[in-house]
Parts: sequence; structure tokens; C-alpha cells
Amino acid sequence: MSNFTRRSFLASSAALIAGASLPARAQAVALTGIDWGGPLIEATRKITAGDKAVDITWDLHAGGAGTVLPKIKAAWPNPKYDIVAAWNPVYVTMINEEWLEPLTPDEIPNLKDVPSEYFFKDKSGAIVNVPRSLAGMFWGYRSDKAPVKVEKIEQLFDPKLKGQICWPGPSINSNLQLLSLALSAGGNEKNMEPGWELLKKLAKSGNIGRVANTETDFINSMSTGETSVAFWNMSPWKKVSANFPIKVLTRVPDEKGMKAFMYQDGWVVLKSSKQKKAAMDYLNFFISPENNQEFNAMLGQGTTNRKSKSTGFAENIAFKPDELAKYAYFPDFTLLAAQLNDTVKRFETEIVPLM
Amino acid sequence: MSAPRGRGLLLPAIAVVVVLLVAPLILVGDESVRLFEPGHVGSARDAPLTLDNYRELFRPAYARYFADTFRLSLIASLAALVLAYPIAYKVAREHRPRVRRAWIAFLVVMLFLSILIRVYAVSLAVGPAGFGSALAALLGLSLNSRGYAEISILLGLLHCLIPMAAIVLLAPLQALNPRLVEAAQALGAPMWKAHATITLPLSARGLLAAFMLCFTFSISAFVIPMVLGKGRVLFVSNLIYSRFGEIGNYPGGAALSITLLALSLIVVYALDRAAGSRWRKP
Repeated sequence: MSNFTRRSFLASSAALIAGASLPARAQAVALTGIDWGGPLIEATRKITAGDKAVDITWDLHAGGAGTVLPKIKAAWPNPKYDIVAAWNPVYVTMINEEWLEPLTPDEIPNLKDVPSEYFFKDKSGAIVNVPRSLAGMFWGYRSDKAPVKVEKIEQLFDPKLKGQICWPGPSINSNLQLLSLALSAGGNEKNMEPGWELLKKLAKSGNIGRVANTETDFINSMSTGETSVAFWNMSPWKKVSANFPIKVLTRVPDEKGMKAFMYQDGWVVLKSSKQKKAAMDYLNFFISPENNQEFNAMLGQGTTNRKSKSTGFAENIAFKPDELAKYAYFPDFTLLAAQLNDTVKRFETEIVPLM
Repeated sequence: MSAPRGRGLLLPAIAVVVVLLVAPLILVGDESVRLFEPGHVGSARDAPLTLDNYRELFRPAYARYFADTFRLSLIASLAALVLAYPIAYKVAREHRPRVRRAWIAFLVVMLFLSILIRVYAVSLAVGPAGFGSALAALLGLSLNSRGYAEISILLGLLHCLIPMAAIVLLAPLQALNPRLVEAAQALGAPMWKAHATITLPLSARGLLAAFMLCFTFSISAFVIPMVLGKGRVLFVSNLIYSRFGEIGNYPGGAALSITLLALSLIVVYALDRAAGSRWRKP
């Protein structure tokens, strides 16, 4: 008994704990993934903590998800990623590049509970994405800061809003912000000219105070009160709404431009992955009814698994069938993705000089 | 025997330079003359040659981006020299070794400070959460105006450039014999005149070196204009990032990169020639 000291007790306990955890750790398959930063990676990590079968090293998208494309291209056929978090326009480019592994409900059984409209398919018609969230991008404002109660696109030009608008950069959000202006002026994805004309007018008005290129830019700008009106997607809006009163403009009657622009984000498995089976098992775990619900509750986004429920901030885009046509807009991301190069150049040459 | 052996020792360094600097530059040059097809990442393997990527840079808007980059870099570099020079002089002439070491340590630590920390510190300080509103009012600008964004960028650049310039200036100022200034003053020259006619000319080469370093750092600055420019003031480096990193237009990004590199080399070469011809005179 005299040999049993506090130190030896701690040492043997530590050895026991380490020994007990070794088998589980040894079985965990190492994967590398990339996701958006901020609230998204926080939520992803929390869900992933429940899957002991994988040990994932995470990278973060540097701004928009499109920034991962050059990284994969440069390293192809040996990019380091097994799984990539992406969304509609990025899926399109990845499909064009033929990088995505076909996925089936046999490999990922929970896909059976995901509505077929959320799937992206490759040239052979195979599913290539695992949808995890239904989300929207929309206009909104800080009701304690904005000098105008914005309810129409034309109010964005109000001189009282000088420097108050946080405008997403042209490569962000697939430029849905421009589409919102275009729709308001009678245009659409095929005819964005009316949107460009309105954007020139907006740039000249001096009302754009910041062109935000990341979620952090948007959250900082809105939180510090630098700007008070913005167009952005759900989880950053939820983050801002946690501290400030936010008026979300997803149910604006009689305004063609102020819609909830619907999209979904999710996962893809790269063809180059050496751990496809583990990656697919993980994604199956990720979109199980419970995990899909918990993940989206954290982010305030809509669920993609039929057996999960959307709650909280997601109510902003939880439209009843009769509201869908009025308030929701499902953009043609293929058309928008094809225009992205020209859009960025036009923004640089025609809009920035006016600001 | 010694000369060939000496050349042999250079081979590893030359190999590294060729592999890490020259080869990628050749690849960038090749990419810059390839046709880009939107919706893809980079040019196709067999993409045809074209000069369109360079041709579009002749549009007035792009001339403005280059002009903004060079103008703000020039202002920041000159301001950094003006502000760093007295600091470097004070440190060089400091008699107390401990104080001098403390100053040098401070400047070196400032160099090691992450650029992201610097940028967000400046962003907070000059934003609405800091003293931004008061500063903007003092300058007669709106907090969200383009002019204020330019000033924010200049402050961000200065945060990096001042310690850099001070350290570069330290060596030439330490090498100066302080007795020259003392002699001039003893002969009746006022202090400002003694410095203007002795200290400044004798440290001119150091000033030029510090300027070159500051200028090349500024024109290639990326994070500073990206965060502090509020998307309203962009440097060419931001456009390059957008091409490569966001829309996958490698040929467009490569053409911008090569053009920026060429213009920077021309400016640095011209400055070097101008300074060199002056100092070569007997």
C-alpha cells in the first residue's frame, strides 16, 4: 500500500484511458474534407464528433466555395480532399471537370429520404451530391440601424441609405444579388442587363458602403454597424440576428426582386479519394434524420432529409405551398455559373469605378 | 581549381531558383496566352494561343487599378520612409545598449506580427467600432467613402512598412560617422541643415533600398487592400486572386500577374538607374 502514490495512480489511470481509447482510434479512417468557416464548420464538427469511425482533417474555403476549384485542379488527380462541401454553382463546375464520384442509395441509404429535386447528376445521370441543407439568400436589414424600412428594391436608392448597403462581391452567392435587381426590373438569368443598369445606379448613388467578399466581412460589417442593409445567405444572417434585431425580407408582397433565392448545400466525394467507402459511410451518418435536423437547427437552415424537421430561423424560408410561387425563387445556377467569368469582369470594369 | 569549385557550390542554389522561381514563371507566362473557356478551371490542355487576356487589360478600368496600386504604394512607401527615418536615426544614435536592444527587439517583433492580425487590428481601429467615425469626421470624409477606404489601406500598409523601413535604414545610419554632423554644427550649421546636407545624402543608398523594399511589398500587398479597401479600392493583386481563386480563370490571372511583374520591374529598374547615374558621378 505504501507504494501506491497519487502520481502512480494518475499514471496508471492515464495509461488505462489511453489503452481504452486506442482500439477505437486505430479503427478510425483518416479523411480530409473542406467546409465553409464560421458557423458552418462549427456545426459540422459537432455532428462529426458523433462518428467515431472517421478522423477528419478539415480545411476551410477561403471565401466562396469556388476557391476550392483551383486547389483541386492544381493537384488533380491527387487532391488531398476526400469530401468537399459545395453548393449549386460549384457542383456544376465539378461535374464539368468530371471530378465527382457517383453516389447511390445502396452506398448511402439515407439518400432515399432526400427529395430527388435536390440531387445533381453527372453526364451519365448518376447522383453526385449529398444534400445537407436547404437554404436561401435574401435581403434583410438591421432594424435598429437602417435609416429606412426597406420593402422594395427601389428603396435601395434612397439617399438616406448612403454607405449603408453591404453588397456581396461578384463571385459570392453566384451573384444572386444581381439577379434580384434584374428580376425587379423585368430581367432574369438569361437577361441580366436590367440588373446591371440598376447596379450601376446603385454604385453611383454611393449607397454601397462595403463590397463583402467573405461571410466574415458581412458579419463584421453588419455587427459593427458599418452597414445595415444586405443580401446574404442564412447562417450568417442567423449569426447577426443573435445579437441584433434583423428584419428578413423573404415574404415581401408585390416585389419581384425581393425573393428568397433557394439553393442547397451539401457534400461531394471526389473520384480521387482513396477512402470512398469511409467517406460515403460518413456522409450517410451526416444526413441521418437526427443529424440532419441537429445540423440545420444549429445553422437556422432547412433540412434535406424528409424525416427531419426545420425549426427556428429556417422558418424564414419554410414556405407553405401557396407561398412558394410568391416568395421563393429557384435560380438556374447552370446559367449563372456560365456567366460568372464575365460577371466578375463587368463588375471590375463597370461597377467598381462608379463606387 | 578554385573557380570551378566555387561555381559548383552555386549549383544547388541555381537549381532551386530555376525550379521554384523560373519554371513556375514560365508556366504562368504560357497560361497567360491560352484561351479560357468559362465554366472550367484554368485553360484546357490543348487550348489555343491568344493575346485576348492581355488585350482586355487595355480597358481604362484596368489602367485605373494599376494606377491605384502604384499610387497608393508610392504614397505609403514615401510616408514609411519619412516616419521610419527618425526612428532608425534615434536607434542608431542611442548610446544606452539596453535601450537600443529594446528598440531593435521591438522593431523585429513588429516584423514577425502576423499580417492578418495587423490588418484586422487596423480594421477595428479605423472602423465604426474604433475611432473611425472621429477620424473620418476630422478628415471631412464619410466612413464608407472611397477616400476613407484609401486612407485605411495606407494605414494598413504603414503598419507593416514602418518597422521594415526602420530596420533597413538602421545599418547605413549606424555606419555614418556622427562626428561629421557634430563638426558641421560646430562650424555654425543649424541642426536641420547639418542633417539635410550630411546625414541624408550619406544615407541615400539606404533610403533607396528601404524604398524599394517598401514599394515592392506594397504593390504585391493582397490582404491589406482586400480587408481595408472594403471592396471599393482594389489592388491588382486582388484581381489576380479573384481570377485564380474564385472564378478559375487562370489565363486572365496569369496575364494580370505578368503585366504587374513587368510594370514593377520597369519602375524598380528606372529608379535604380536614376539613382545609380546620380551616384556614379564623381
